[in-house]
Amino acid sequence: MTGSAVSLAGVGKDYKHFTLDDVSLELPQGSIMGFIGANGAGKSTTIRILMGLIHQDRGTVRVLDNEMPAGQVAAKREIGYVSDDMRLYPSATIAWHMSFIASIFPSWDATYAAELVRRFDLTPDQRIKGLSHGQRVKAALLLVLARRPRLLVLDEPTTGLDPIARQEVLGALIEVLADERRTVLFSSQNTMDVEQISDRITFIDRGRIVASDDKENYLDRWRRVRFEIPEGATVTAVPGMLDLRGSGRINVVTVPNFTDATLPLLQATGASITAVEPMSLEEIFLCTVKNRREGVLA
Amino acid sequence: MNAPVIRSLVLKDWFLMRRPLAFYLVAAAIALAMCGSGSLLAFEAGAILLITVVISMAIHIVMQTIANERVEKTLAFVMSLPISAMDYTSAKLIANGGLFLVPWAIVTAGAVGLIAFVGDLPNGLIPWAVAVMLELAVSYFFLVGVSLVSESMPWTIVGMVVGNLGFQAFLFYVSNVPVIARQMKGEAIVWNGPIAAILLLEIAAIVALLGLTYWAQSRKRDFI
Repeated sequence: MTGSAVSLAGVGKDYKHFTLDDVSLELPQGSIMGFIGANGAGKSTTIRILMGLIHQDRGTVRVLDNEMPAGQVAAKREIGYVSDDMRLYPSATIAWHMSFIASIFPSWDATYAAELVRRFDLTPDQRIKGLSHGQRVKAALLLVLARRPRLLVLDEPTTGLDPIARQEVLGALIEVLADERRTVLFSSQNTMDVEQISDRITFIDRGRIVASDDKENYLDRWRRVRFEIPEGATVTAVPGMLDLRGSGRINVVTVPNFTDATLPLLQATGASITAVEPMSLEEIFLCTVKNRREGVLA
Repeated sequence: MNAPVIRSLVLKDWFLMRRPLAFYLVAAAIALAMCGSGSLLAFEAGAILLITVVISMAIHIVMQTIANERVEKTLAFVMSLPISAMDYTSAKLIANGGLFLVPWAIVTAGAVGLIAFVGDLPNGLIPWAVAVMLELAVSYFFLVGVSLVSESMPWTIVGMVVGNLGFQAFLFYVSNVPVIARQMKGEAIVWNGPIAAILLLEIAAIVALLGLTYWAQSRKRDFI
């Protein structure tokens, strides 16, 4: 058994108008990774490759000690996969889906399923076509959670939900994930959703991984520094600082690796520090993507 | 071969198709009753209805169990289960084969029984009727293959049109082969000669279509 539930090394996939390029990713067992990217960034392609649904053109993929795509049958026995573009059978009831999944997975836990039905406020006899989008997502989550998968892969499960339904689904998910330690890969374009449940974050943009780290490291390292310079002076660029903005005396700079040495460096240019502010994950994501695209960040 | 999951997927398709299938069987029974009513007009209307029922059933099964899985996005749910693309193909071919062939066999047996035991239809019609019914099965497996391999509703519709045109051409051809046309009007049931060759070709076509479908599916690298 390796320490990683998911391991992608140099994975590539070529399409006519999109290339997934040199994606390398490690998801340690027991961690919850948020996978953030804009629409078309390559999140779903990466996830489909690690599920064995798409064959990579280059690189190696290992999921729960199975080489993918060859080992997808064994791997999928232990993966719970819910995707934004996944639907249940509209004419069948939730109860039918539960018995269908139970017939396939010996690990199906009927007691836990009944508990999830109650927690998610679902009615087993209700047909899928009569459910709201939020209820459908909860039903899909119930079907994967009650078979207690080692790895949970959630591909934009909250996309298209109204704010109330989104909060309900996230709340239910957080509650369930708090019960036991599971490895989770949670993709979303919504950084707030990811921030709530993840302990590791990976950013993807234009088919490339642009950053991957512990959530706390991002939040600890990134700072926005506001400073003033003397009248008539010009701002001097400081290495390692991004997005220097301002006019006249008042300026703002983004620091991706804030340390004790950062402020003295700025002060040495004549700047007078007025504020040091933490940044949200969304701001960090946007800044990372923008600067990668411009070639400023390595 | 992942037999337990394939079995669950086959049962799933049977469950989801149980009501339409019951409807088509009732419609086929009505068509057979019309054929056996003794009136020539009712016989002709019944025969047309019977063929229409079998063609409609074939289209409905393929649309519901294959083409719609992509359109309604239930394919992602199925492929999240512990199966490979080839397991999925096997499940679809077994489920669709059974869904079509069971009612098809009942309807074919009903048609043969009707010719043999009811009214004054010549028994020589039986080989012709079997060839026509078998051709419907060929068209069906062609449509299953097109829908599975293309994973596309437009191509499934093209497959439907091509299959239907092929069936009409076959119907015209088989009814106008002089030997068969002569035998159809007689009381003797003749299985040898041109009709035997046609039946063998039809069976070979079904086997070839199944093989081609498997082959094309095995070459796919992206399944969803």
